[in-house]
Amino acid sequence: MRCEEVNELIQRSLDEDLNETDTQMVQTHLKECEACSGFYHRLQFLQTSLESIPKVNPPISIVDSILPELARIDQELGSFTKANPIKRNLFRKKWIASFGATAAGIILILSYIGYQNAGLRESADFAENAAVYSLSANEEKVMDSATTSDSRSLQKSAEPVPKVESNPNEGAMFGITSVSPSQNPKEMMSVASADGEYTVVYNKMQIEIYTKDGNLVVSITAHTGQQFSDIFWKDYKHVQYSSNVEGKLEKWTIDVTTGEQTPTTIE
Amino acid sequence: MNEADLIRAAQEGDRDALIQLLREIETPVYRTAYYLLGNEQDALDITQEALIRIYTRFHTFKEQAQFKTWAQRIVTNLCIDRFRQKKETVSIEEHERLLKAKTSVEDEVVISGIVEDIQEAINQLPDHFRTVVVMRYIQEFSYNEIAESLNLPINTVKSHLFRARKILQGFLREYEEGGVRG
Repeated sequence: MRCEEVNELIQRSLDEDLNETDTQMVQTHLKECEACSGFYHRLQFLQTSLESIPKVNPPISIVDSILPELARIDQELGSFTKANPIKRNLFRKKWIASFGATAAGIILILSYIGYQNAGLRESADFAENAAVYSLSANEEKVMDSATTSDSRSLQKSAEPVPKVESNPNEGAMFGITSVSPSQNPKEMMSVASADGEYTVVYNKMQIEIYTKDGNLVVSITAHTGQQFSDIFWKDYKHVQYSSNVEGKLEKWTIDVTTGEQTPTTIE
Repeated sequence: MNEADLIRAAQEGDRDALIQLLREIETPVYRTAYYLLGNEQDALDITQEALIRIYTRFHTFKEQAQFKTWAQRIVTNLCIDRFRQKKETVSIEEHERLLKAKTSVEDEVVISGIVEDIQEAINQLPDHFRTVVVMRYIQEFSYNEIAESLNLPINTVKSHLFRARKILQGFLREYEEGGVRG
């Protein structure tokens, strides 16, 4: 048996990964080979030393030290209840912070934008993409019907949520600036469905859909070279988005109730 | 409740169960951070970050994995990021000072002295070797568990571990010979 092979077996013996036969072979070789015997004893000694490295303990309860932070995280996206499995992402912090105050505002914004008959996408960070891929007539129709019902939900929701900071009459500007204050392409945009049951949160790299209770139902991350654009609600339960991979454009529809994605037929 | 019950409860949205899981994983997570980063302050920082990440990403935990290896993956990734940042700031002199073996040691204190020196030697190992050593000897993980924690094939785990031990036994040989660097 070659020393190299024996060395490997010696290594494995430290991890109790040797069978009886291998162990016998190693022992026989060690009696004859001084170099391997030295290696074996040093490794045995090393093993003992490594096993006696003192196992440190944290000087404080680290969980206790982060409880306030965890509570804060919970608050940002609603309480942690049975109906509310957590889904939080530090990277969205900024968005979440402003979401609470403007959740109702978003519905107002949508109504306003819809009223103005401007495409949702003009309010998004994807303005440059939107300019290239204009809405088809069909999509516009869907948007119209969605925004009509927005007006109804607006009447219902405006009253209990008086905290909307801006006057809806300033809708166009408010719609863009308050949801995405920095205009940073990485900043998450959010748009609620017309009935307010779901919210799609997105940027060029990520699309996530939450229920109004904060449950994540869909999460899609762009792969390398892929960019999302043109994200909007087709109706209460369907979000359409465009995927651009090196100039190749595909349109997909997400069913928020099942999470399934199907290619959108391009007319 | 045992760990499986806690995991199930946490997955059903029981916040207290998730906090309890964090408490159970706190010490092993801290130990990994401590031995990878080499000091208490960094270890505390990274452990906090890791626990918060475990809390916020718990929904992505799949039951095919073990909770303890999943937690270790999170903390090792954070540590690797951290010590890459730090390494750039360690001077060459400092590096050499740390590499020096002691020249004379009383027999009685050989073991404890060597343990300390081996710890120093571990700190000088390449990142991947060191991480495997910590998983094997601090967490007492099997090849399989190490592979799961570090997202590496088992053969890679073995080869890292064997090479790490070979480097460390080389250090012991120098030690036996009276410390060639002394």
